[in-house]
Amino acid sequence: MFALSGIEHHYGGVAALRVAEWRGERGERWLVAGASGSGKSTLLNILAGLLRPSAGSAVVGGRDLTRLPEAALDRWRGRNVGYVPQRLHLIASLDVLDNLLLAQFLAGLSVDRGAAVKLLASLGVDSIASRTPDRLSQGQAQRVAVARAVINRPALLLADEPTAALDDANAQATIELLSEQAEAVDATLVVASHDGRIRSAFSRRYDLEPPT
Amino acid sequence: MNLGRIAYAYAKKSPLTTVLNLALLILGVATVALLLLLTTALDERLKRDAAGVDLVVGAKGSPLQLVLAGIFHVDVPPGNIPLAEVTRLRANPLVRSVVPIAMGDSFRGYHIVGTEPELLDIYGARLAQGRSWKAPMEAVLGAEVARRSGLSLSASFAGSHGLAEGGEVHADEPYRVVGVLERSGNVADRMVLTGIDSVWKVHEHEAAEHAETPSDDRAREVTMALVRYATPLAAATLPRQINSETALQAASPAYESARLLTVFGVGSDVIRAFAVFLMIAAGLGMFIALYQAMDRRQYDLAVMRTLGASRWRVCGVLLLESTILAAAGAALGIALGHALLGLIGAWLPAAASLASDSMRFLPGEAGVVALVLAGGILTALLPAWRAYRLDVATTLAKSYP
Repeated sequence: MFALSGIEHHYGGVAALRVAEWRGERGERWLVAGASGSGKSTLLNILAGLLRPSAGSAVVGGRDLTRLPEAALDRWRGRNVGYVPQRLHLIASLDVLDNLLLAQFLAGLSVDRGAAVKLLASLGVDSIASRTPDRLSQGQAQRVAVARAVINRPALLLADEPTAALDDANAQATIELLSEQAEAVDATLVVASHDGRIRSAFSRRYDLEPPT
Repeated sequence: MNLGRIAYAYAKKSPLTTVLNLALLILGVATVALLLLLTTALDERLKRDAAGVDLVVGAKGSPLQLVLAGIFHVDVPPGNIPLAEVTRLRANPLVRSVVPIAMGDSFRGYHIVGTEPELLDIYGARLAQGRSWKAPMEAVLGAEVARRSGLSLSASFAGSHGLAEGGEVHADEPYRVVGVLERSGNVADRMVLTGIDSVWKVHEHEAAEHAETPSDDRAREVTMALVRYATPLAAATLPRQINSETALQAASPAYESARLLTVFGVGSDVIRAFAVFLMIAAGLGMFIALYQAMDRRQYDLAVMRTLGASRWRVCGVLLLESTILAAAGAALGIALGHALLGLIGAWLPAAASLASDSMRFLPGEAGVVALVLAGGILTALLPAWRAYRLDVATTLAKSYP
């Protein structure tokens, strides 16, 4: 499903990431582990086509992201990648339902209100569909962010440090939620985290070493 | 979900800023539109009123006053001229026609003008009802006078002394309405027309009351004469001839009204500059609001990029937002300008003729709208550039300020 090889990335001359070889198949659940500064977020950004690595090739879903023109890359990302950022970043000006519809609209897909409501219901948050994000609890916001990431049935579901701010019970629940949703849309799940509590939930792990 | 809805959601998120900038913009646009409508209406009205007359001949004094009194009927005339002079003028080969007018009284603020039926030709006025005046004390009302006073055929009314409202009423010398004019769209709508002998009659009576000398002995006088040239050549010689060789004064309505517009123009330029300041303030406000919002918005824009939006699209959101605001400001401003014009017409009778057509749109207004839209796009350019250059990965990794 994805194959990275010879990836290197520098920020202003400082090495931030080095991945010699890493492959994953469709439907697998990966944990990208490593200390802070090992380049976990950078790796996710490269997988999402948000960042072009300084060197190497990143083939995701059969496409070499490093060679795709920018506009095509944006389009590809909208249809194929679901991304749950660490700080969730729900759009505060839009209500919960509109946050989901926005994802459909920006991916260039037809806006399907019914599907969005159904998805919210399956996550148990349909009752807050018309609330704005500032009136959600942390758990609700997390569910909405996951819903927004899977609404377009992506092939690749990415989550950056999803459990960093959560207690043990919620951390486990969040990982279960991500796994369930990835399974529901048949997506490959990649979670970047240095949280030791969730290691056991993943069958596959890729350990990042800080580049030197 | 569409771009418009996103823009609306952001505008709604900071309602106070949005409303303030929109209000500034609306006021600026409305002021410019109103000025444009008023100056255009004034310009057209002056031109229409002065259209039939090449030269006004009256007593020495200010030429502008002569034109204001004799053409636009908004001022008192400088004095009278002997009827004999009018007769002499008629004999001049450069002159096609001379229409004498005598003024002194008014009816509810409208000048009562003693004249000859030929005046109707000058203003292209036609009778809607009744007939022209023949005997003394018969009067024909302009369309606006008839409408506002409610007088109809064979009603009688008394003129009041002087050309301003509130003069002594000549109750013992009433006029009788024998005709009403069709609306002609010029000063004829605002006149009460009668024979010169009517005016003489009213004032002879008065003269007899106040003076010892019998009025019959005095030479007949009129207030001024409206002259049309026989040849365009007359414009070069006749005014000079009259001004230097006679005790009369000649004034050109076209020249004097152009002068009037110049004087009025200074005032309207000041107001226009003020309105432009309002619009610039609105533009600056929009710019600052958008630019400040960028600090918070960058996270939203970064998320939109992760959801598949291209660089151009996130720019488009910002551009669309300010364009919608500018378009709303322009449209509402133009509407307010026209509404104000309508109100002015309803509340200020003196300006009613300038505001008669408040639903008419001028090409200049399209220019104002285009300028405001361009300004709206301009204010969003810098924030849009920041949005275009946004580094998604770095922004998502940053914490909120």
